[in-house]
Amino acid sequence: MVYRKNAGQNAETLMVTMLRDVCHARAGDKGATVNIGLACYDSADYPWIVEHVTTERVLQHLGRFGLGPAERYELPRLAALNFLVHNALDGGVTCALMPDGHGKGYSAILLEMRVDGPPPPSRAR
Amino acid sequence: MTVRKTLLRVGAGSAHEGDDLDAARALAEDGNLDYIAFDCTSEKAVSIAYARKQNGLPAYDVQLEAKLRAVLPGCVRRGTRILANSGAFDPEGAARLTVEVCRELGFASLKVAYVTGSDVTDLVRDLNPIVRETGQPASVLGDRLAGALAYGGYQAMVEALAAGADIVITSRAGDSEQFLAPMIHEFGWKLDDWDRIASGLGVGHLLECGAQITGGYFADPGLKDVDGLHRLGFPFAEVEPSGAAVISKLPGTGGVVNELTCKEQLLYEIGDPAAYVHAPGTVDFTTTTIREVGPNRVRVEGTTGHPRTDTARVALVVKQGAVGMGRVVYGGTGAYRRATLAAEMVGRQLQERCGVAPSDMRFDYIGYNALFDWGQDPDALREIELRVTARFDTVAEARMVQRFVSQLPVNGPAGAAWGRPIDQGGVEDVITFFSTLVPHDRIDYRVHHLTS
Repeated sequence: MVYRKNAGQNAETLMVTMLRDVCHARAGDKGATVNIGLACYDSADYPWIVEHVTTERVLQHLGRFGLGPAERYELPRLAALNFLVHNALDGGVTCALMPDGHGKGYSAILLEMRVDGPPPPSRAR
Repeated sequence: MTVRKTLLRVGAGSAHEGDDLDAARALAEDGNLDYIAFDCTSEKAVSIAYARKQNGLPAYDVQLEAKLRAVLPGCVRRGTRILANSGAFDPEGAARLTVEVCRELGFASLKVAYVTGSDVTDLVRDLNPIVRETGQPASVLGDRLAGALAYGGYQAMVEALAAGADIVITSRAGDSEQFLAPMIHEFGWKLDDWDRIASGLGVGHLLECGAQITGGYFADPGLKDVDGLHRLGFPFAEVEPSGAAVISKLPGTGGVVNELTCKEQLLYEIGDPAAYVHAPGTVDFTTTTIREVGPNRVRVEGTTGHPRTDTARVALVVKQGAVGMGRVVYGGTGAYRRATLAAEMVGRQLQERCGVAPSDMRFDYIGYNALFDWGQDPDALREIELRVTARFDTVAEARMVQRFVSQLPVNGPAGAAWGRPIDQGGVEDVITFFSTLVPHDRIDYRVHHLTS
């Protein structure tokens, strides 16, 4: 779904896309690092997520739940990105006090991210 | 001349030691499999095995017996060979149990092999390598370092299969390695044929979490719907000598295998997709393609590889004291304010009476922001669960968290909802995992044979 804010103004530049509407995701742990895989439903959207879902934006989105640093890896043949966010899981699953020490919930958390600006191709049609 | 198989059917029997036995049994009965591999030894499971060892209990997967009982009849009938990394700190004990179960079920003269050498506790003390998580030598851990298990043993598994083993038990063979070993054995792959080794490891990676590729960890109603979650089928692969494979599941089972499930599982916990390091070789998934070729049939091919690294990953079992937990629920208008007041009260009690540092305690508000700062207005919420956790040196001290939290309904803010004793929390010995690297050639894997 593409959310239009302030209809009547310049709608093209004021649109917001929720990542959940464009991508699916799966997350898991590697010690205190969370690994979040993000794949496009429609491979035509891949350049859009490469442009918009940067490590900077992901760290900004995660806030205190992912202190970073973070790395991003590109898989164009699968229209997917893989993120490693360090210092996320409170020391790792076997000693973490946080409720989601396995980091599985980070899939839903990343998909909650909103991107301002022109929507991806699958949403612009 | 050896006649090589042109298609190998390998199935996943479990993603962890406590997985669904009925799904494994179905694969053994109806999967027409050549091999079935059980992943039983997550890092969590190894720490549990260590705790069992400390308490004089069998230090292997205690659910191994149940797994064997579920699949042996089907496997023996079909001639399906079994691999299981269920040995942990006692692969011989796991193999002897396996022989007993085979005999009891009336399956005589099955060949059971087990692999020793993964327990590298002494080697780690000797080599004193740098620990990844701390950046310091292993010796700094002192008495807290309880044991070390290397991930590996694919050559030993291949050797055991070549010697005719029907069942191969390892301590902690890498999850993907257990699927690779039969491919090397059946297809005669060379150990430095890096693309094929990586392709085999890649197929193993897709299968090793069991139902996570057949519809588990996937359903999201309205967006990604999955039928039959209550009877998910476990996956199998039809592997070709090139390393290409079709991932599928049994007809009539619940779940789904499609491009989405395969992509999600391919990315699962891999780190750098161009350099996913395993003991037998390094997998490059950036060349991999995934394509649906039929209902619940997905073809995976194109995976390439790089030479194995010089070192093997070793899991260090480290004692980290204890954690105590307490939980209580507040409802109605002002629920969040009452929960934060309760947290402040318990925090002061833990600090002033037990000397717990603020950095060793945590207060989570489940329903509000325990998983993420979702941007909710806490004053608009009508139910909040307060979850208190804190770290201690011993389990006895850790009980104080539950003690203070259980006093809240009487001594704390108004209207604390309080359920059964198990709702209130508990204590846990913390055994954590660090990792390090040791040279492959210092690990002495050996194959041992038993017969039922």
